[in-house]
Amino acid sequence: MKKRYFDIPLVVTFFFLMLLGIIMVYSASAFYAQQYFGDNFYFLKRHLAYLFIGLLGMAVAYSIPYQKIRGYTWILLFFSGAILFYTAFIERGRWVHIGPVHFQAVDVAKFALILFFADSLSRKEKLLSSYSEGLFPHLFYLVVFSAMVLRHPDFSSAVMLSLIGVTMLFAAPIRISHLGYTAAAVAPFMLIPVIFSPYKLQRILAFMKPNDDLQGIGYQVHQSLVSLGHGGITGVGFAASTQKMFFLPEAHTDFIFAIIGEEWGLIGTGLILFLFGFILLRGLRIARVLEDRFLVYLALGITAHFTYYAAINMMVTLRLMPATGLPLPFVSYGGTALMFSCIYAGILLRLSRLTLGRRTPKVRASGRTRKRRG
Amino acid sequence: MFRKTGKLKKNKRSQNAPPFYDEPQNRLYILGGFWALCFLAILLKLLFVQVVEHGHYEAIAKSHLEQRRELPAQRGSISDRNGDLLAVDLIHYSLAVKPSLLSDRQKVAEALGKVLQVAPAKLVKRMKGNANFAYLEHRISHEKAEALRKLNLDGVILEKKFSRYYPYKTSGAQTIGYCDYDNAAKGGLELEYDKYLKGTSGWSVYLQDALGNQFPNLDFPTSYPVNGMSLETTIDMFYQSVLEDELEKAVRTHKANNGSAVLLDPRTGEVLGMANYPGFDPNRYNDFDLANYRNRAMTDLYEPGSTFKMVALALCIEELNLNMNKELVYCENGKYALAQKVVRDHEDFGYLSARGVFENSSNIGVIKLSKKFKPPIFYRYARDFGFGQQTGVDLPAEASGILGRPADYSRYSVAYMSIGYEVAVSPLQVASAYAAVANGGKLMKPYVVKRVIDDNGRVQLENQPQVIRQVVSAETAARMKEILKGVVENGTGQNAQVSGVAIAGKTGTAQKFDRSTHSYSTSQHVGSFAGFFPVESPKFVLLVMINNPRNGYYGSQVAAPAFSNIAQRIIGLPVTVKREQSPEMARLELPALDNFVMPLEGMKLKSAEKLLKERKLTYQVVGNGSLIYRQEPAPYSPLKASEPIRLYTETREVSSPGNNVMPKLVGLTLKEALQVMSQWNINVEIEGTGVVVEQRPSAGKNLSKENKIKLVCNPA
Repeated sequence: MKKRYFDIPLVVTFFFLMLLGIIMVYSASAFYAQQYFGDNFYFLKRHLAYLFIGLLGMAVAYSIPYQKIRGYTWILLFFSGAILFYTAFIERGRWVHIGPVHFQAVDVAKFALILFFADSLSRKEKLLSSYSEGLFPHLFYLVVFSAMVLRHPDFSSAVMLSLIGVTMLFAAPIRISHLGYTAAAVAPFMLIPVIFSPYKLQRILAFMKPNDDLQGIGYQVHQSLVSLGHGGITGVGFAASTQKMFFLPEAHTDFIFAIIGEEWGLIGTGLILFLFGFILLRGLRIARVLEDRFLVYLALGITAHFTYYAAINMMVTLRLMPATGLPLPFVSYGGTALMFSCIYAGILLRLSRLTLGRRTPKVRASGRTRKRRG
Repeated sequence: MFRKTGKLKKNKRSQNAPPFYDEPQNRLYILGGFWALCFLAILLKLLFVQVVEHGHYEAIAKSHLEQRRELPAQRGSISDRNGDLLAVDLIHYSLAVKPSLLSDRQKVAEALGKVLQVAPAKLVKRMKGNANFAYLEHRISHEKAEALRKLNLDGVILEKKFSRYYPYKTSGAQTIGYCDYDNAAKGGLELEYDKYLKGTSGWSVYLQDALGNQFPNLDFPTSYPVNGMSLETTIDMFYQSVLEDELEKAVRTHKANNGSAVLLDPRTGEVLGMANYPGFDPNRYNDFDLANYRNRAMTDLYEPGSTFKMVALALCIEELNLNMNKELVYCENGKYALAQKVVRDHEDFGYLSARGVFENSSNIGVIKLSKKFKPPIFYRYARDFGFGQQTGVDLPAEASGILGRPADYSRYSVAYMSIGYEVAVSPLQVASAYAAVANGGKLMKPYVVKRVIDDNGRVQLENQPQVIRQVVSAETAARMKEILKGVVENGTGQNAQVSGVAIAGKTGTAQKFDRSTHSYSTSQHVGSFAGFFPVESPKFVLLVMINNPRNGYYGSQVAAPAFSNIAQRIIGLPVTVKREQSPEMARLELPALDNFVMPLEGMKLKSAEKLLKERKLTYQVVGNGSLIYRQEPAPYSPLKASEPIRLYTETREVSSPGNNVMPKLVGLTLKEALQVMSQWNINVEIEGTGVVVEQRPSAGKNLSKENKIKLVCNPA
């Protein structure tokens, strides 16, 4: 059998999403760009620039042999921890500026944490059932990183970071009871930032009673539902959205899914859902097929990243969750998030390539456990 | 034993086996299942929002975007019987800008300021802020709006607006009513005929984004407004201003609270004038007391006193068929006890004929006559004359008055009612009842609007004279007229006389009921006079009512002279109308009149002079009055620079103190002078034509010795 270099369906999926992104960023931002920048291509141009850099990153990510660099993940962790510390305590803010390069510290931290967790979990797999060797040290890194992200302040990114980390822990053989007790102990502290920050509380209240406050915080989500509903099944057609005419704020960034729903209808939103669903399935397949545990955890972390960002973005747009500003991977307008999504895509493609031509193993009833314990 | 332990071991091991969820492979399934659930929830919600509720959200999205702009309809005008406008919608413009679309605010402000004659800095100040829409100036005239339009500036908007304007200001204000600053009808004819006047506003649909940027929308055709219909009233603004003028004088001279006057045409029931003093200016209604808005002539009630004796008079003639000249009534020398109270006459009378009783307005006499009245019959007559019910006039908030039913009468009710107490009437009801007498016993329904005419000139509604009922026979009405004429000639109504015209009428003086003491006040009165003229064929019914005069109180003192003055001015004047028109109104018509003589008739001389001086036109004033009633050349005729415009002014002093005294004729036109002189059967010699400049004999001389009059006129 001829060796294939690419997982073609996955490549198509990624590029399809990027193409949709290019079209929709232009369509959703043209009015905004014209009104405030006098150039309706203003955001499109920038988006394309980010995408170009992202594609370069994707190519680089695709060419790295991950098994060989696994020993150096702690360097990346240390480096990203230093950046987080700097942005959390010395010069507070989400952005890091090094010369002409600007990026969000949390994106680097997330990348580092996924790699580090994958390495650490795979290395210590046999010790994970012990609390002090398993859950505790990992959770420690996770809490420290999240807490520093909270200082930025960037509540939703901190939550996403924790969510991806906990998901990776869950996939590893740590004990659920450990996770449960810790969660129960930590939960009250998690509420503190919510309670002491009036706008977070307001967002949650707006979510619970959506019709009370259509002019205030509920307005944005209400407008996003109007956009989706306006589209119906077939949509109003390309560039024909009326909600993007300043009725729906942030139409080209966090709420681009709503504009897709308006212009392309259920066909468009269904397609997006399908594409992210496919990435999820591919990610899970990689996790099941590969034997190298490091690569398994790496694939799971990246899959969790794509799935959580996509799902939560769509759920916010659909008022299934309180409003929070998260981009839809590959589709939302630009920034570091787009570049890192491309890098993750490159990694996933490389991992997926390793699974090509292999069958999904049949599920063996508790086989692995017995082997380990035996 | 061994087996047992073996079994135990096995059991123990199976107990130690990790639960389902601790299997790493299963963890993947759990994660996959959890994510699949999220995606399923998203899919379900998508189906719900995009398929099930699609219609709902589509409507919201459209309502966000599609804006309806109302295109206001022009409210119909109200005119008097001669076509003079009493209420009219003026068009003006509001200037607004979209600051975001302005390229250079300073430049735009300079261009606009030049046309508007406003300092540019002021305009720039109003453009500030991030608003997408800012008004710069309101009430811009049509010419300025045209000039602004020609500037052709981006982001500059001119909005057409209407506002109500009442050229005659206070004149007839309570009857015409008024519109508030939003052009919503608030009273009078404006309110009563609102559905005709207001028209139907149109609309256009355009697209507007959330920032207020607008885009035309060709999918929706514009619905154009239908302008309101116009009212042509029965009111004559000349009569109306005479009523108001004299009423004001009477109220002021006698230091009264207020007064009302009603002038009807008894043959048709047309309301020729309806005045109340003090009044208000509907153009700035906020500056006036709310009570002044009331059309007291039809909304306010009073106890009429002796004017109500006409009901008793009708009964005496029609029901009892008394010989008014021969029936004698003993008037108790002015004092008569009734119901533990003493009824007094204004003068002590002994025996009076029934006629004398009414001519001299003896309360005691009428009370004694009323003993012959049966309460139900009395009630029927009062009711038939229209008391105790609305007259049905086409004005809002009419009072029905109070007229007790016979079942509720006390022993003395008919006695008191026959002299005009224990009843409450509105001035309009009294005028309408006297109109029935003047009109051969036929009670007519009073009305104010003659015709409702739509924008295309078609008559949409026409009010015809309407007979309500024959109250008394024509013969009775004629006998009543005769006696009411006697009231003016020989009795209490002598102050109402006008030389040369036979007037019939009745005075009324009623003590006001004082609520604090529960008795009739000795210091507060209502003086009134109701009558009609000329007696032979009555054309006018007039009622003057003065409320609470403090300087004299008898109807014969306070109301009859006003009645006389009004009658004199109404009859003494030619058919050509004279009335005040405000200079603003005239100025509005000016722009088109560059080569024509502007209309000046009806304006005050001072205003006209000002206008003429502004236009540098030569003119010549004829007469020494203050109101212009005629001009030569006629309005709208071509303007000739060589020829001065001649303004004929009203001379208010057309009075003649006695019956046979030469009136002042200088200043009148020949036609008017001859009309005045037609009262006497004297030959008039005329020299020249035009305006009388000299008269022989001079004013004030006794005419009975003269058999010839000479008038010298200024040759035109």
